[in-house]
Amino acid sequence: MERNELTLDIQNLEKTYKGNVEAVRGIDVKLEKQRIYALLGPNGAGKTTVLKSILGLINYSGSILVLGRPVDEVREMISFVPEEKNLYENLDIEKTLKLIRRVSSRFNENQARKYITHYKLPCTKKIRTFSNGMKTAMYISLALSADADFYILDEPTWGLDPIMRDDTLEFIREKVIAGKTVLYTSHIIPEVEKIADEFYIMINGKVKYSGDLDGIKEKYRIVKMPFDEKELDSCTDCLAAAKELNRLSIIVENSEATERFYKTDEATISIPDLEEFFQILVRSENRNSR
Amino acid sequence: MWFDIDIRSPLPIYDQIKRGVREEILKEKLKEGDPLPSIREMASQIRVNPNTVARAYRELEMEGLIMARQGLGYIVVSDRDKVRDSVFESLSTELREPILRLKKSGISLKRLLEVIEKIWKEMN
Repeated sequence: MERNELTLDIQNLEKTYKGNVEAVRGIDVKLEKQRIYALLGPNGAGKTTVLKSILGLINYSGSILVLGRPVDEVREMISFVPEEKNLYENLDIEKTLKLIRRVSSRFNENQARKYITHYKLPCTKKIRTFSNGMKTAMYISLALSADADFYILDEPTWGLDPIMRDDTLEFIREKVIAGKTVLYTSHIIPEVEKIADEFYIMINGKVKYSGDLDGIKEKYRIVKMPFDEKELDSCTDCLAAAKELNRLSIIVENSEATERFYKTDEATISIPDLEEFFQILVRSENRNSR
Repeated sequence: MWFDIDIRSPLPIYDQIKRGVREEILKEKLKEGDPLPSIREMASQIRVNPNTVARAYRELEMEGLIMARQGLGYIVVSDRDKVRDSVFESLSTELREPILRLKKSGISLKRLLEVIEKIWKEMN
């Protein structure tokens, strides 16, 4: 794939806020067309700063190209759901649709009405009266009805009940089947497992891991054993090692390195799921940074 | 064509798709010369991303089970007997883990074989 075909190309992005707060410390991100990417990380990892940088909402150092160009030239090709789902609180749905119809040429109103009906949102009540989940559903209905090439969704399932959440994931998947690219953030790891092709795990402003779920299942094993300080210190060939209560959890490459654990009676070895993988990585990093 | 994909399974998703296609061939729901659903169709039917379906199809093609024909999508080029061997291979790797646990707990090979034979016979 040629470089200009990338939906997003971030090189060496750095962002330091006032007071020397380093939010992002030099990351590279390359997103290919027609895939769903998840940006994961604990609170304060720098995820929202990355999204804001992509959208040009803040100053940063490094290079970011969207669809091969600076973001200002392709702004109408991007649809964005922000972390704060703020809408016009004093309008109802009908008036909101009317407003958007007037300001945006790439807005598919019929599509929006289908989503709104699906989510059973009340069309004549002011948005001010909506619950958090309803506001999210409304925002999603509008954002996915914009004819864009790149959808950036910050916590797009926030406040949704499990049924609405699953439906929303499928709406997002339909976008990708139709050839679009999606970048989204979420705290709900099982949701990410369901839908993302690839993910980036950010911790303390850096990308600690990027890859796909199938790759993790094939490439790594999780070893759990009673906590042992010596074992923890000797784990130099591991991707991550963390103390979880009185247990030692290790992520190790599925190779000769795993074989030694097969010989240990007290160790159990399993194929990682994303939740475990994420937790051990984050805990391991927290320990190292202390 | 439809089969269930289990996201939480330790088995990679593309592998589950490959297995699904193989099983359709084994059940003769797909015969030599039959077309497979397009990548898009398959993606929306089994609720996975097109990229993952594409990978599964690519690998099935490398294994010689299906073939891409220009403009026509993929067709099945293998028959039941050939597929059976490749199914056996992938299932036997899955047996490794439980067998290892049995071995660690001191179960003899003889006893393991007896259990296998018993389960096998119960199925008939």
